[in-house]
Amino acid sequence: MTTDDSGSLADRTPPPDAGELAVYEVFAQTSERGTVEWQASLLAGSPAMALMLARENFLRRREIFDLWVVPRDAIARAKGADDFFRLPKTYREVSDYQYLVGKWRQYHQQAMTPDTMA
Amino acid sequence: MDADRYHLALTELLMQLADDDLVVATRAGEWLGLAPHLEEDVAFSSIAQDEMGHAATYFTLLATIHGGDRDDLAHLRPALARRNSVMLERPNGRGTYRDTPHFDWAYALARHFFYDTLEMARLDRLVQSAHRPLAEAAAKIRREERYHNQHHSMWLRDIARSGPDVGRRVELALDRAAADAVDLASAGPMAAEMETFGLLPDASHLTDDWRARVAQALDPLGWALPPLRGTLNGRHGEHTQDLTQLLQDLGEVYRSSPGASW
Repeated sequence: MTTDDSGSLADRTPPPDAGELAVYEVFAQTSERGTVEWQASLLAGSPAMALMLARENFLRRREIFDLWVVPRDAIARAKGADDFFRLPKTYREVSDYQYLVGKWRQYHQQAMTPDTMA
Repeated sequence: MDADRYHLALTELLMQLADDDLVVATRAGEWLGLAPHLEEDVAFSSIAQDEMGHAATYFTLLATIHGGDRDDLAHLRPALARRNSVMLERPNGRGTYRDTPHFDWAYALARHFFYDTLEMARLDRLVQSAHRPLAEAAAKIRREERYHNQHHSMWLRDIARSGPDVGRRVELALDRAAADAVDLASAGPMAAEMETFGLLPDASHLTDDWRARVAQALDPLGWALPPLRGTLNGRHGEHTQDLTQLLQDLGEVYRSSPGASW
């Protein structure tokens, strides 16, 4: 684990309800170029405490590059807000353009006939 | 003669280190399943496991110097041969682990905060120890101990923001821990030799250093180190019935089958 600060920034930023337990979502990045991936949720009294508990509970036996904790309340989510993801937009799918394969083949063949070549 | 004193001072020092960690690890381990919430339960148990690992390291060094088997030294020595601080052997609260434990989390935090602060002050010296195997072990242990220290300081900081009722409970807990801590930051009757031989450099300032570190952590939170009290001195082998009971529980299985390979 390369983090050695236990969240110097987190220390300066008390949560809205200081001293109250809150749910934090835990994210980890395994390498400098790796994506930051969600690991788990936990209860903690402050961001610094959440970082410490995340290390001890979920990342004790793993090498990681960076660790994030985010109060769940700070996450804006789309679920239930609209049906954007369920709109039928087949024109955004690759499969919607399969017919082009046939068309291209057809035009290539036409292009190769002696008539068109003359 | 000097060689004898050296050997004796090193033995005393290793016993203090090994016994402190063995006892504190046992008390911390008794929180398994009882800590305030699940995440903390795992974190605190993992700290207990680290401390027991450190005890194993010190007992291995002790076995080399003192002779004998590491597990025997940990489990079979009577209470009056132990050198741990009396504060560490006290129970976590009312009841016992197996029988209606009404443990006191604030007390556990106060005690571990005091002890881990001492460990850091001691380890900062031991990494320079003239006994090379001890210096190397100390460097390794100090890396883990920093996280323990953060854990307890963080808890105290979060708790300090939780209102006057909680604050008063922490004050009481600090006072209760201090009531048995007169021997905690002491290196015992051979402290002078430990310093002269370079085994525990600057041993004479250990207590002051510990007090300064404790004050540095408590001052910003509005707390102060209560007066240290205690009629028994663990560094002299003086202990309470609590230690006898602890050793009996801890070594029960080990003693049930002498000579078994574990």
